[in-house]
Amino acid sequence: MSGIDSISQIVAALRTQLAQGASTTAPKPRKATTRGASEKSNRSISKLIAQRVKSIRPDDPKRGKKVFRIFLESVLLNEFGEQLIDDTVFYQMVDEIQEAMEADIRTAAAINTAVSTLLDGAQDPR
Amino acid sequence: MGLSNQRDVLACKTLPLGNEPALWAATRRGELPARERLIEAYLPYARMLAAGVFAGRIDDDVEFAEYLQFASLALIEAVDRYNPAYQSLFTSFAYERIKGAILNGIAHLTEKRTQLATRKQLLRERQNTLLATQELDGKEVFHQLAEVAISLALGYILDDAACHQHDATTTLQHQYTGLELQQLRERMRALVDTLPHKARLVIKYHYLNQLSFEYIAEAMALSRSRIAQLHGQALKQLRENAKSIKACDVAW
Repeated sequence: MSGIDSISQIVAALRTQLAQGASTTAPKPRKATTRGASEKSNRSISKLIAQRVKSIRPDDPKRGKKVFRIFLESVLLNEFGEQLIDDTVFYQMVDEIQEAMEADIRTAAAINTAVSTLLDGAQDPR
Repeated sequence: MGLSNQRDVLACKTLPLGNEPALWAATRRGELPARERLIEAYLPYARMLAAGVFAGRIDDDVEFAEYLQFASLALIEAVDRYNPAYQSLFTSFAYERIKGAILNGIAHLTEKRTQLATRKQLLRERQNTLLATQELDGKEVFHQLAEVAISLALGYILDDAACHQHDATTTLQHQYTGLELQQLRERMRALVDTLPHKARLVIKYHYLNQLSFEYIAEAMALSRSRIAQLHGQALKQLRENAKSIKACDVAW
């Protein structure tokens, strides 16, 4: 397991990375579900959060959705084990879960609140 | 034997057989070239029958290619079974077999499609139940969302692996890449037996037998809401049991 062992720590790591990402140049975007060779050896949730957040452009219209995706992946890896990080079926599972949560009106409202909280905390460089 | 009526002639006119009795005799002796020639010659006949059944379809759920595949397979089987000593016409012999194979095959495909639809309904019911029973109020929003996500993930993990893999490509891919999740699934399933009796039954009925909460309620003579409650409790208990084991096992 990584050093991140609670939801609060995951959220804190997300906040930190979003704040840092907002003050640096955004790298070339890539899919959240694909992983490069260097990333395969990286089994830390905190590093995963950092890498995922850095892949999101500040002006990405789907930024909120992608941030929530990072939160979901981190929570589930923390709960079920980081060994799932290299399992493509894990990402399919996250797809289904995110879809189900976003389709539920009450849960979608909670997602919007959570994402707004995270993004509002990050400084917009524009 | 042979192509006697107008329909048969039209069906096979592009592929003349020459000495057809000799070909059947050779096929009966196990000569593969003769068999292949007969099959090739009668494939248009199978196609014609497939087109006829396809024209009479009641919906567009199944593509013509699938009708044709069933017809072609049935034709090959008919060629192998046909005995010119006992049956007068191959087309007469093959007609009902091919049509029957198409109709049976399409019915089976439709049944599979119905099962997929049923499966989607089952997943929707589960998700709605889990989402509805989550206590979103009174918790910090990130913890609320994490609880919901973990409950949904537990359902996914417990579910029958085959139900997540509907097409061959995906199945093949998952055989090589789904190992970690499969191992987790096996560990979680082993924990199901540690659950209290009713909770265990609900989990087994729902995830291993793919029964809806309504059917489970009927089977267990309980209300549907009680089943949903037991389901939620069972997932919570499984999560706690898994955590207990994880705390004692660094290899988890």
